[in-house]
Amino acid sequence: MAVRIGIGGPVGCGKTRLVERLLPIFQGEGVSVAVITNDLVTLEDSERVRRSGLIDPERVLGVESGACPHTAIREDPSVNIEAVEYLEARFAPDLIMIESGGDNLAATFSSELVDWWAFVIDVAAGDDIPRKRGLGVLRADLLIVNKIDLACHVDADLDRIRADVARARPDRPSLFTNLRDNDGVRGVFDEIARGTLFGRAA
Amino acid sequence: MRMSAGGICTKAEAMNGFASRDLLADGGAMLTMLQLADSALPIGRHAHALGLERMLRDGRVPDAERLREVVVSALIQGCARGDGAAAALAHDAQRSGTEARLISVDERLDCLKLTAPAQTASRRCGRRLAALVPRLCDNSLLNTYAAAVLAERTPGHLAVITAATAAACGISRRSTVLMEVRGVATMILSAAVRLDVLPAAASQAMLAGLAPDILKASELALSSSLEDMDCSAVAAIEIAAMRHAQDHGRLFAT
Repeated sequence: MAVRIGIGGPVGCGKTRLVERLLPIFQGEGVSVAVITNDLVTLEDSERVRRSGLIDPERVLGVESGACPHTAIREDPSVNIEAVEYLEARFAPDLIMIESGGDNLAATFSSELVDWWAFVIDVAAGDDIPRKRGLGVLRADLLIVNKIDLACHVDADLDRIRADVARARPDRPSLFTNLRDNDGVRGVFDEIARGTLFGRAA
Repeated sequence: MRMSAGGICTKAEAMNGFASRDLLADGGAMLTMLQLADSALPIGRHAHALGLERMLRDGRVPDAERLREVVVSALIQGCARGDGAAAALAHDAQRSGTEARLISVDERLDCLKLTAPAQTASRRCGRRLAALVPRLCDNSLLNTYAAAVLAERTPGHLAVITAATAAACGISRRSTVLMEVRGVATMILSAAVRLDVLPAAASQAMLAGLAPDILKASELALSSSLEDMDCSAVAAIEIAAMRHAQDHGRLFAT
């Protein structure tokens, strides 16, 4: 059975980018991977990953949830479990990344679907997000604050974000990244290795 | 007989008393039926719209009245001799204690679902329910059948595994079929709300108004034999579902 990790967060925060950045690292570590994307209305994300050249396109599945993305990762993850079982039966991967469709700050992953999950936010969407204490920010195994390079362009106070994140998640890890430039992605991989105990620590 | 505060039991109180006792007598079955029909049952129903999304894009569902016509067609020309009849016959099979009969109903229904979307929606949801069955009901035949579904020794259509579960939990044949047929109406109406065809309150009013059609489709289903079972005659829905499968941008799986 594959280790299952979830990647959630609002639209445009960098979830697909994170998947693209992690794929070469997994490959380098000898971890066999498959990917599930929960596209809200289109197949854009799954096709983007398929076209990336980073993974066998057949190992990427796009799932239409017919509902708000959080329904398909939390209330009723059946369609995603079905996709996981298909990929496990066909490819026997070591790990499956399940990217949720862009969703609100309250989205969380069911423990019946994933073993570990990260929630991604970006500073350009507002530096008050951590203070709103959505369930995604509070409950995720790892919080990733992405696009820190944009903070100065959108008048986001990065120090304030760091302080708010520390208060919101006093005992859970958080990372600040600029995934476009590959800044911080290795730390994400290390957290996955530590969190899922799949024995491939960096 | 339950007495009122004044010591005299009114007719209404008596009726309420009988109703209460009936509910208590069938309480376990009633609870199971409510659970099986609940939208919270995690079997992936939310992913399916039975072609409604494509029909909406094609302008074929411009108003609530047309939506109602779609639902009625799906019930009478689609579900009654298909999923509804399968539910009735699967209930019989479960009560007879014969796995082979369950599988024969399942295989017959499989032959009658002519399109890939119809197969997908029914099999996927059925498989998820099969995975859930051991946690819902302790019945050896049902668990054997559910294992056969998960091992892909039988197609595992939702109507069949639902009815087998219902029968194993003491739900009557009639109630089982009613639940199955109603489920088709609620699946389409739920999708219609999410597709913004009509508001939630209006969908509930429409569902209440569909009661005669749900009952009519259920009667057709209850009177059907294995040979009477038939494929969907609602070509517009089937074609829309097939076209939907080719769409690049879509909210629903089917």
